[in-house]
Amino acid sequence: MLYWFFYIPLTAFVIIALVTTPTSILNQSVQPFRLDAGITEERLYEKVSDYSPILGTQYGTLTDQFDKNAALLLSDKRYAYKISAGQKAYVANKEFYEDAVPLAPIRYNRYTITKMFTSNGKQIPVTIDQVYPKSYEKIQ
Amino acid sequence: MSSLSRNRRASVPDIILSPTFTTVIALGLVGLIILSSIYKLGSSTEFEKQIFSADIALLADSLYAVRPDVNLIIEYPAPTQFGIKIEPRLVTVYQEKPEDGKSFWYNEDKAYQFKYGAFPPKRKTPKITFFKQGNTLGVLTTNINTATPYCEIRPHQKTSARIDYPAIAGIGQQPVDVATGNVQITAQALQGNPTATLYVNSNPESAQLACQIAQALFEEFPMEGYAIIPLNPELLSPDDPRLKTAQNQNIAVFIELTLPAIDVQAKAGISQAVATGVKDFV
Repeated sequence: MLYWFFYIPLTAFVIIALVTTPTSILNQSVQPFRLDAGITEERLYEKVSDYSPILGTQYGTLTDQFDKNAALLLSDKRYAYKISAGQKAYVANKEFYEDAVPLAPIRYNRYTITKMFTSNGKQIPVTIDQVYPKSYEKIQ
Repeated sequence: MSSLSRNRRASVPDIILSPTFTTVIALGLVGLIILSSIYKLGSSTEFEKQIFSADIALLADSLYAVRPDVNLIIEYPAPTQFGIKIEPRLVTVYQEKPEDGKSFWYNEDKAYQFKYGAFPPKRKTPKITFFKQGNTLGVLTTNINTATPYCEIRPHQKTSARIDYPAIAGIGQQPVDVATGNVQITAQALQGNPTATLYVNSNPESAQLACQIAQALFEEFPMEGYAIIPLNPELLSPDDPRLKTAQNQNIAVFIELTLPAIDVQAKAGISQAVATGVKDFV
């Protein structure tokens, strides 16, 4: 009885753990969500910073091309972002964003950052909110 | 009766050999499974391919995250046993065929043109060079000029410009109007190191046009640098050739170009650059 109901299941459990644990650890190393989100944040903040051919990038000053510059040419990666500056906002992959935000962080990873920008002499917060699935996949 | 009781007792082979045999078989099976999975894990290249595809795709994303007016070159040490295919919004790393490889995504940007590339497996070069130059970035295949300007694409008023090619043929120390219409472009060519100074008036679209012309000049000549300088008409003397540009309320640019030689070839390059700059702007 002990043989069939304890030792064999225990052996099977140990084998499964030995086989699957290294695989899942290695799989985690190719899910660089934090890095991906960090790079996207930098990209978007560059895009919404004012740029002048004479003075270069004006960090901390919001561009008047916000609506145009906030849109990236997205790949098939299943993720979404929302960038908002005061009353203005742009959402990429809106459907996925609306589905994922209420379920984060349980079913989805969510990364949010806010920086203060100046626009027309006023300080406004510019927030980037990104949502990713728990494992990278192609958007449907 | 005694024969019956003898049959009930287990023999020595039954007590020792049978369980031992079963245990050896079971342990052997377990050992084989474990060794086989370790070997599969160790010899598998799936994770390497996935890691490299993610790394290269994130590097492509990072190029876009750099300040727009900064140009750079990055050398990436890529493993030679894998083939790498960098195509629109996707990086694939494979061993034999791209279909069997691992992919990762990167986003593009309308403001830039990405140069894609493909590197076969078992190649000699162990690195891939990425670059960012002006409004172009991606895989480096030719020399780049790290001083190339970046120009932001912005909506602007409808413009009509006619390039005056005969005027360009006469370009020299005396400034000449090289374009007419509702866009005014005046140019002057002097001998010296290849640099360009573009003076603009207070109309913000003048700076945009100047940027496009500067970018086009970098395509035609091995320029060492450029500058876009705003003009204040109140600070210019009446005989300053730039005064007309400064006082113009419409789009106006004054180009002061220095080149090693102002010959026929240089003039052809100047006319091409002005035409390209205007075309890209309009």
